[in-house]
Amino acid sequence: MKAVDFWDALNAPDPFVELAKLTQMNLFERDVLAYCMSQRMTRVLRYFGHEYLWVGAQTDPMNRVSCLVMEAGTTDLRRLIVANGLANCAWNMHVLADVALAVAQLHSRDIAHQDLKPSNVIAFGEALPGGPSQMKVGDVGRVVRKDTPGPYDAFSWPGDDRYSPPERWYGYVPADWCDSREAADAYMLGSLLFFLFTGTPLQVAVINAIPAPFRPGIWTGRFDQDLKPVLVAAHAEVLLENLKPLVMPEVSDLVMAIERSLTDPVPETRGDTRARRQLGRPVGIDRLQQRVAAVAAQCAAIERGRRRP
Amino acid sequence: MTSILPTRRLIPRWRSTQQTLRRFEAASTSDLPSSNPVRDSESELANATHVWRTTHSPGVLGDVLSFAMDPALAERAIAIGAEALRTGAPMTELQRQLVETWGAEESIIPHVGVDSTSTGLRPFQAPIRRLRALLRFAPDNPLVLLDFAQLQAAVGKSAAAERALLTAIDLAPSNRLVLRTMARFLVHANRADEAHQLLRRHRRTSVDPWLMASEVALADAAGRTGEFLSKGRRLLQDKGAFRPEHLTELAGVVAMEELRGGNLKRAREAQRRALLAPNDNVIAQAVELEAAFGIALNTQPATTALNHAAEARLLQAWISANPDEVEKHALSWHAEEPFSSRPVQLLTALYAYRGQLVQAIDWGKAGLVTDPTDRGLLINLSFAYAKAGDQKAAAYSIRRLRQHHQSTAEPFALATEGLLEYHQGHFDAGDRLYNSAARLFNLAGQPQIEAYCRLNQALAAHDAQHPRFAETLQAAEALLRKHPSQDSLMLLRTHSASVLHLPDQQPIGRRNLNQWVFDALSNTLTEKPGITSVGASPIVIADQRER
Repeated sequence: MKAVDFWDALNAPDPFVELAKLTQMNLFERDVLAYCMSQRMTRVLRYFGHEYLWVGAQTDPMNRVSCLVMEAGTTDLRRLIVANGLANCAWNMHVLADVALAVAQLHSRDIAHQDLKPSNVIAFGEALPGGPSQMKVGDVGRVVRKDTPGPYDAFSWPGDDRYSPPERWYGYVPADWCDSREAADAYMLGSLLFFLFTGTPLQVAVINAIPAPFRPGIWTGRFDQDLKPVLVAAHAEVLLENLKPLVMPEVSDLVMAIERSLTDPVPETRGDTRARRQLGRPVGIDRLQQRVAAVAAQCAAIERGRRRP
Repeated sequence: MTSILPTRRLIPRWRSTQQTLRRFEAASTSDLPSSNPVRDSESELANATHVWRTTHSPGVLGDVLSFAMDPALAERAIAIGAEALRTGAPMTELQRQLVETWGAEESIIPHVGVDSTSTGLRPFQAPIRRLRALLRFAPDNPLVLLDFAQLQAAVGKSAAAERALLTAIDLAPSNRLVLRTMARFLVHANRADEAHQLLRRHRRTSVDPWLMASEVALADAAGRTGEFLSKGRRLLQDKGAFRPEHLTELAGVVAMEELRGGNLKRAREAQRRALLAPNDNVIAQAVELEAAFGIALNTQPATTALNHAAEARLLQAWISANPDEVEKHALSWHAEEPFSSRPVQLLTALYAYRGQLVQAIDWGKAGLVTDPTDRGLLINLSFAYAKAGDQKAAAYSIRRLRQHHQSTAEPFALATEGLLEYHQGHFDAGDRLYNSAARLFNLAGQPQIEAYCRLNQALAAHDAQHPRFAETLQAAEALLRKHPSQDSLMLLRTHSASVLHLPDQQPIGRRNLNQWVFDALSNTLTEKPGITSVGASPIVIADQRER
C-alpha cells in the first residue's frame, strides 16, 4: 500500500501548487500501474485499485489519505543481501533475470522506469537466497513514457540521484529516447547486479575510483573525450577488482560481459551490441534478459551438480 | 668516460595514467561551471540508517554507504559504515574497503608503473599481465592502452606500443592525454617530425594551451619553428584566458624560445609565468636552466612542484653533486617513466663513477632492452666494462657504439679505448687515445667535455699507476679550472681517491619571482609579483612617503 503524504505539500510556501503537483503525480502513477496490469506485465507490482483510509480521528479531514493498493511482497532486496561469501551466484542471476524481465516489459511499452534500485525490488515467496522466490519491480511513480506526457518528462533525472547513471552526474542528457531513458534503466540494472554480489551500488564504488579532478561537482568540462576514458577506466577497474572474484568461475566471463554491456559509461553504446545496431538503436534489455536467464539456469545446474554426492 | 645528457626540451611527459590524471594537464581548461555534485536528502539518509540499525543487513548498509556520493552527507554515511566496522556488523569486503578508503587520494585505477625498488629480472611482467586482463574485459579503454603502450615501449616492443597507441587514438581522437602521449612516443621512437605533424594538424591544438605548448616544443625537436608560437605568446598576454596551471608549459616553451632568441628580459617574464603554477615537466626544465634564467626557485608553487618531481630533484642532486640523492631520484624517475633512457643514463654513470660496476652493467643492459642503440647507454656500458677490465665486452660495446653513432660518439669511444690500454699497462697508447678524444671535443667546441675527458684520464692514470700521472693531473686541473662542469664535479665527488680539489664555485646571485611588501601602518604583507633585481631582498618595507 502506498499512501500520499500531504504534509510536506501543506507546509510548502505555495501549498496549492504543491497539492496540485502531488495530485497529478498520484494520478499518473495510478494510471501507469493500471496500464501495466492491463498489459500483463508479470514482473511489475500488481495494482488492485485505490482507496481512502482514515489514519486518525475521523473528525479531522487531514487524517483521510489516498492509498494505492498493490500486492504485498515479503521484503525488499536490500534486506535480502547477506554478507559476502554467502552470495549465491544462481540466486543472484535469478533475481536479475526477474528484474530485467520487468524492465524489458516496461521498455516494450515505451515506459522507462528511471528509479530502479534495491529498495524498489520486492521479493515474493520464500525470499531467501536459494529459495523459490520471485522478484517484482515496484514504485513506478517516477516512470517516463515515450508518447504520453507525464509529470517527470521535464526532469533530467526523475529518480534517486544516488542510483543515476554517470552521464547524469555530469549533467549530460542524450537527446535520443533510447540513449537517455532506456540506457539509464540499463545502467541501473547493471548496478543492481553489482549490488547483488557486493552489497554496494556500483555508482558509489565508481565515484570513489574516479580521480578527484574528474569527480562530479569538481569536473568543469563537458561529458566529452577527456572525461569518458576516465569513466571507462574506473568502471573496468571496479568491476574487475570487486565483481569478478565473487562470480562463479564457470560463468564469470558471461556475467562480466553482461555487466559490461549494462554499465557502459557511455550511454550511446550501452546495452546489447546487436540490438544497438538495429533500427532505432534499442538498448535491448529483452536480449540481455535472455542471456541473464540462461546464465541463471547454467549456475543452478552447476550448483545442483556440486550438491550431488 | 661516461656520456653527457643531451639538452632537455619541454616534450610532454609520459607517466602512468594514474599519476597524470591527478595533474592539471588532464583537467579541463573549460570555464564552464562545475557539474553539480550528486545530492540527496538528510531525511532519506536518516530513514536508511534507521532501517540498517534495526536489520543490520549488509544490503541496507550498502544503501546507506551510497549516500556518501553526496559530499554534504558523505561524512555521516561513512561514519555509519565505520560504526558497522567497529561493532562487527555483517558487511561485505567492498563495503569495508569503501569505509576505509573513502576520500583518500588513492583511486582504484591501478598504478601500473614499475616498483622503483624492484630487483626482479622482469619487473614489467606483472603490470603487463594486469593491463592485459583489463583490456580483455574492456578493449575500448584508451587510458589502459596508454599504460600498456608505455610498458611495451619499456621492454623494447615499439611496434606493439605503437599499435596500442594508434588504437587509443582511434577510440579518443581528441583526448589531450592520448594526443600528447602519442607525440611523446614518436619522439621516443626518433620520429619527432611525425609527432610535430600530429599536433600541428590537429583541430584541438589551436584551442588547447597544453597541445600548443607541445607543438612548439616538438617543432624545436624536429628542427622547425612552432606554428603556434605567436598564438602562444598572445595567449600569455591575455591574462584571463586560462588559469596559470594550464599555461605553465606554454609559458615554459615561450621562455625557451625567447632565451634562444637572445631576449633575456622577455624570456624571464615568460619563465615567471611558467613558474606561477609549474608542473613536474616545467620545474625540471627550470632546474636545468636555473643558471641561464638566473631565477631562484624559492616560491611556494615552485618548491611544491619540486617535491613532486623526481626528474627535477634528480637534476638538482646532479647539479649539487649529491650522489645518494641522485641514486634515489633516478630510481623514482625510472619508476615513473620506465621507457626513458635519461634516468638510466644518470644511474649507470653514477654507479660507474662509484665503482659499483656490476650495478652499472646490469642497469646499462636493462636500459638497452628499451632501445638497443641508445647512445648514452652504450657509452656508459662500454666505460663500465672497460673499468671492470672486461676487454671483450667493452670492445663489443664500443663496436656497437661506433656502428650506430659513428660521428657523435667517436671521442667517447676513443677515451674508453684509452682506459682499456691503461688497464693493460700500455700507457703511451692510452695517452694517444685520450689525447685524440680530447682534441675531438675541442674541435667540436665542447671545452667542458674536454676538461671532463682529461679528468677521466687523470683518474684512470691514478688507478692504473701511470708513471706520468702527475702530468696528466696537471693538464686536467688546468682545464677544469677554466671549464668546470657538474659532471666533472660529480666524478670527483664519487671517486674513491682524492686526487684533485676544485675550488668551490661562488654562489651566483639569483632574481626572485616576487617580493613581499610590508606595510607597517596597516600591518599587512602584500605580494608584489614581478622579477626582482639580482640579490633583492625578499621582503621590503613600504615607503610611507609615497602614500
